Amino acid sequence: MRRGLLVALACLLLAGCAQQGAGGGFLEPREPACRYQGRQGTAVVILMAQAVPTASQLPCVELLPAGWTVSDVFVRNGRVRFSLDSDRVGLRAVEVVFQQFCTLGEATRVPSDHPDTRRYQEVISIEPGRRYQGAVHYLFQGGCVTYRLDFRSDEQARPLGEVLLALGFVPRDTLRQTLDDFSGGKLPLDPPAASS
Amino acid sequence: MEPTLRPASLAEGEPVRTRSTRMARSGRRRRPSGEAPPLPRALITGRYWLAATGLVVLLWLAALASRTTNNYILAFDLSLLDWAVRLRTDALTNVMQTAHALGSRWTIRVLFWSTVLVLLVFRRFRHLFVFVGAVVGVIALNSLLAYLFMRPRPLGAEILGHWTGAAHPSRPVAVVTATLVGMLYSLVPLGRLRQRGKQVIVVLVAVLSLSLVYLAVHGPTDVVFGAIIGVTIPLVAFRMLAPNEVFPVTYGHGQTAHLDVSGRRGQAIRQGLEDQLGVQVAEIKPFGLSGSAGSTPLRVCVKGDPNSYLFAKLYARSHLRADRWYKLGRTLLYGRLEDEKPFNTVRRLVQQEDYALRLLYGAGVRSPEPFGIVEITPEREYLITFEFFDGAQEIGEAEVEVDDAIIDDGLRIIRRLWDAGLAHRDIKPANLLVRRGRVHLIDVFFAEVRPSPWRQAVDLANMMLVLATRSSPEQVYRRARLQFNDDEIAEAFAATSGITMPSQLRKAMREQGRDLHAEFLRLLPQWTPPVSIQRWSVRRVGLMAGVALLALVALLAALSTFESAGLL
Repeated sequence: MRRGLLVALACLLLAGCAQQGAGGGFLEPREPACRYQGRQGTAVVILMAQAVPTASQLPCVELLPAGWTVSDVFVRNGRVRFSLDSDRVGLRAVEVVFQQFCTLGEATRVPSDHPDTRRYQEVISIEPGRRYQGAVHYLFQGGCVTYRLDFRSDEQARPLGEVLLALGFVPRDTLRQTLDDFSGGKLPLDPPAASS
Repeated sequence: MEPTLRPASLAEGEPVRTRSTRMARSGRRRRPSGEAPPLPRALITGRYWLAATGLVVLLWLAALASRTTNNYILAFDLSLLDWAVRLRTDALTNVMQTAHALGSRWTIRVLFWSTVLVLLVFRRFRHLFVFVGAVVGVIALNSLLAYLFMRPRPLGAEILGHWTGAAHPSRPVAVVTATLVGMLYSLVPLGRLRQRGKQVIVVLVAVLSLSLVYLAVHGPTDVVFGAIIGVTIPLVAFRMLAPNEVFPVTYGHGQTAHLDVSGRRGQAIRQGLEDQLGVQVAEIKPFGLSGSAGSTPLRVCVKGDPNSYLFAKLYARSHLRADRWYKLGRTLLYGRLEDEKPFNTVRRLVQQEDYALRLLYGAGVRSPEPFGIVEITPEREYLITFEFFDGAQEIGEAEVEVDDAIIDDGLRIIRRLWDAGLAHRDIKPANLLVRRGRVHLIDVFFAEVRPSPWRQAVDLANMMLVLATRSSPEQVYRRARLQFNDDEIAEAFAATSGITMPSQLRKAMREQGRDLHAEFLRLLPQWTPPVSIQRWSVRRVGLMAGVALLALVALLAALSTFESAGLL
């Protein structure tokens, strides 16, 4: 009798877990994807928005090229970090750090490829034929995103093009709208004072 | 007395079979199929928490399977949170932010590592492993669920505290609760103090939960589910892996290897004895606990005319595990000296002792008459019963006069064991009782059939050493030569050395400040080269390497787990 109950419970649990991919969780998937099932923003991006409540833009992953994966997603109040691993240029080839403020160092301003952002870029070190280290900073209202680049290959800075295409931003207002649509207006993203 | 091939009828002393004839046996009863054993294995206090966990799992499944349910739960949280946010004042916020520190990583680290330290100091390793396992298990489960749900922090409210990761279930509440419950069950003895401790935990967890909700770090359902996980896992872990009846938390006295024979277990023992052996029990008392680490020894007073006594030993799975570790330790330290295969079940362990008792008794060795085995919990707990030597005294006690007759009697036991092809393997003062001028051999659990000659020789040497602690090596040697020749005695002292002597015997010699082994060697007409007790084999080397590797991997895994769990 007891064993039967346990087996039934285990089956339920497995069935429930198997269904998670069908969209039961809160704005799947569990990666900082920019879009999921036609909506902009996911649960992780909402957490990011809560971590840096001042930010008008939120970093996310648009479309990963073959050989790239997201890893080490870490979100806490005031700071967000995630990495991109590559099968060609190494693990943690890109570390994305999202905070309210960032230090630009000797970065040079270059034209930005994303609206409402300013882009700065710097080369930290080059080991010819072996390694390229650099950084790309995006500044926007209330926040800053840094891509720390560490490519361990003879491709030098060439993978940067893939990275810039892979990463993008979700405007906070769009995310707010997504959440509103998702919950039928029951779940606001920001506290009343902040959203007004 | 000359050695004999067949056991004598022991006509010199009182007959061995004395007690069973006086023991009133009646009303034996076979347990019908389907009827519960005397002590069914069951969780009692953990039942409600398991039910609560079952409910939580169902809710989770619903939330996972349905977006509507998930939104409904979030909206419910938000409505409660709105109410909490409306209460916010500067002063109350300061208080809540202070209370929030209860759930900080540093608080958890201090609580966790101080508990580990205390458990290490008190060598309460089982509690230590269960505590560490439960806390790490809660952290792992919490992380898994947080990843599965990826629930945001309370939406629509200004968050005033520090936070990390997804909100559900609340990690600080789950981990603090698990740590506190683990501390309670591993450090605080059962009783009023533990009850008070539960109340303290309720207050602390409630304060932490309120602060987290007030500061909008977590929603109400996050903290409730966190608390349920934090209570259930350690509670069930301690109830199942370190139950208080088997591993009571005590300080300063008592051996943790001994089982508590009061309460339900006491009733079960009484019922088992009555149903299975047909004796009417008047009283059950722990007896000689200090001399036994491998079982829980008891003295059972049996109703009769007059009342009589039985000796009983309670074996449980803890003893089985202890036996396994002991044998593994011996194999690692000395190699496989003799048959050291561990037992697979408690039933086999108790059967071995019963068999050994019957064998020695049948061989004419003056050892207790076996009385039977009682099943307390199938495959988990058994009671073995045998004759109680009423009025007997340990040979090491000051009142016992060890004269030539006693020495001869003790040596005759060894001769009889040799003739029967047996070894006792644990000859020490506590296992040699003297009653009415005769030596009785007890605790035959380690007895072995067709042992190695080395082991038989060790038995002789240990018997001579025990007798010499209460007389003199010269006297014992002189009497021994009446039953053993010089070669046999020389072989005995070549075979025995420090670790082959039971620790009680070593202690007795140390207290007397004498090296009896060396004194015996001086008496021998010729020396035999010492027999090495180290046995090297590919298996032993492989086992040592395997254990060392396993220990290293376990250490690294533990460090990695602690680090990722935020405990380092």
